[in-house]
Amino acid sequence: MEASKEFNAYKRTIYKVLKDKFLKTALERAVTAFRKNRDAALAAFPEVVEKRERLQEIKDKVIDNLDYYVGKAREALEKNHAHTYFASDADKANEILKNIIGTGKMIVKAKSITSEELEFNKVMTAYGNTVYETDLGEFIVQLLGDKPMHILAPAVHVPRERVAKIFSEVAGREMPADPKKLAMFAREFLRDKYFKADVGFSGANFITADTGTMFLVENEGNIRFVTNAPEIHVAVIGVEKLMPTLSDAMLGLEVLMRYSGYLTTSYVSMISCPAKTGDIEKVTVYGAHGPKELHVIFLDNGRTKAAADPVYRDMLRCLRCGACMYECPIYPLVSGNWGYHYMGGIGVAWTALVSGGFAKAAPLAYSCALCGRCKEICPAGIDSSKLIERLRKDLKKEGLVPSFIKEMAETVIKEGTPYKKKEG
Amino acid sequence: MEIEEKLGVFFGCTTAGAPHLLKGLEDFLSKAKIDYVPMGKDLCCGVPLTLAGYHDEAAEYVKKVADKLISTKITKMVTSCPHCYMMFKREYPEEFGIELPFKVLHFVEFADELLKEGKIKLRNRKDVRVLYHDPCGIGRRGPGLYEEPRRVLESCVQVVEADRNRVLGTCCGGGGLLRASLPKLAVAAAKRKIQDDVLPKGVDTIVTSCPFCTLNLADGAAEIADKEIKVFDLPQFLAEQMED
Ligand code: SF4
Repeated sequence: MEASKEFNAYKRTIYKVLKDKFLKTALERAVTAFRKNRDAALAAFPEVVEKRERLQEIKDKVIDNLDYYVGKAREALEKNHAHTYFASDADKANEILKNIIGTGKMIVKAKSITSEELEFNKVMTAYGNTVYETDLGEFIVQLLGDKPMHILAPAVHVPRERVAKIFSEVAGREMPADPKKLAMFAREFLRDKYFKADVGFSGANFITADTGTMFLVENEGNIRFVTNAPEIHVAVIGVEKLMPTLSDAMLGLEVLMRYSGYLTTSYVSMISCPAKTGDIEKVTVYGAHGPKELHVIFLDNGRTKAAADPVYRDMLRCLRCGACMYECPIYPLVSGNWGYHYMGGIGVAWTALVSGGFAKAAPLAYSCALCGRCKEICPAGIDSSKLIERLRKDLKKEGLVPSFIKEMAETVIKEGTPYKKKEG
Repeated sequence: MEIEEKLGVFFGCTTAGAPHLLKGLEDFLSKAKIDYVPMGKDLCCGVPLTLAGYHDEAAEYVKKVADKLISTKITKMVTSCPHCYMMFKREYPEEFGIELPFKVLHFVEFADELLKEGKIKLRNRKDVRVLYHDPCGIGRRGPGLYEEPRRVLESCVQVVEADRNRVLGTCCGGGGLLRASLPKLAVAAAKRKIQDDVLPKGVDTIVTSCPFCTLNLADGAAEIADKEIKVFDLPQFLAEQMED
């Protein structure tokens, strides 16, 4: 009855969250703002709706040939003096990271949901390093000892009053619940960390196979510091982030921006190799101003297996634009509590196949109303309802069905109705 | 040779289990003077099994259901439940390889046909404003039956649209077994939907075409203390607009 125990614990959390007035306020504010921005971005660039179809084809080509594109990207990167690695799972990736980073180091970190798969902060801290999240939302979440509740806005669930309270504790003085003042405090606090840090850690939104160029999309400017100020830059990138060519990635970039609600983001960093100069007698010296070393770890962690499945493979097209979550009838009520590392409907499949496993995904699989609304907005054309229906079949095979489902199914089989006969 | 039409009405276990929904559909059928074979009052179409991932059990179960249905020799079946409808129309043939030898219609198609043929008379009450909620089951997860229910409703009342409707409509939270797994979450979704879609329109009546949506929206409406919102399943609503 493990499956039922897990489900009941999850149900308690969800029911508690439903009563949380603060969360409700914060989420409704976020949903309204996000939808408005996204509608404006799509209206300003209507051709992006067509571009998403082209993007889906490109993504499918990559999903069908993951090995090939990983090989090509590694070749391009190595040629450019970057170090590359392939990690078949999270443990392997952590071993590689420990070897590169060592212990007693200071790490500044960009927001990366892929790093959640590795439990990066926990693992690196336990290995004797200090990790600073530099994305404002992640910084808040880290201080609260919480978990990110949205892939783009990790602190989507935290109202400003709570941010003020935790920042006051860190600052040792009273901070007003004013988003502007709070953001300035984070800026001051983190500024010198970039230059003191030994290692900058990031993920990437895309990486091209032809040139080995990673694309990092952001607004805050923290990623530029993270990937530029420390001597070593380490990136962990899921293999599904590969794009065949530079122009494919540009197309992906455009679609990602619009569907995440931006006319444009403040910055896009494109990084292909360590910093270098040839200005003194054409002798190439690495680490001119930026990092001396670039390490890129390609992470599989269940992706190749998912790619081989005719239904699950679609999940690998996800750009993490977050659009589906704001249209979902369920997510805005509970935020990332419906999820493990990955969240929302699409997150259920990612939990099952990549980060967490079937047992962790089991309680989450019955929170979807299977309404199909997410598919209509998804730039990658992912039908999360279909993924979840498939997962429920697998959970049945694995014996991970919660007891109330089992009872209902048995009643149907025995009585010809899911409703228990009331009398006689 | 002309085959005489024999109509079956499949009530489905959710409609059959809710007295007001059952009465609504029966009243409609009797006021419209429809001759039919009642079915599915104590027979589930099998959708809970497929939604629960019980594929093999479902395959066995639906075969038995199909045999029973076929033995009635009906030529046409109407159901007001989108789940039953999609099971018979799509899952039985496509997932389980069972071709049913009769036509399957959802109630919205049936009512639309009756209206077109002049077989039902609805009171003209154009002062009444209702918001139509698109059930996902016959909408984006089905064949997109968006215009049929609107045509029927517009023939007797004023239909108000939610800002997001048809293929982009917001789900009420009543499907996918959510009412069984996390009922409070399902109802919270319905409440939110009403707050976002219905209250700003100043409407106090919702009509939909699904027993799950009807029940779930009604539960959501009950949680809104300062305004009374009435929720009807289409057959039930139409029955009230018909002369006795
Ligand atoms: S599933 Fe689609 S809409 Fe949701 S985050 Fe991924 S790409 Fe965006």
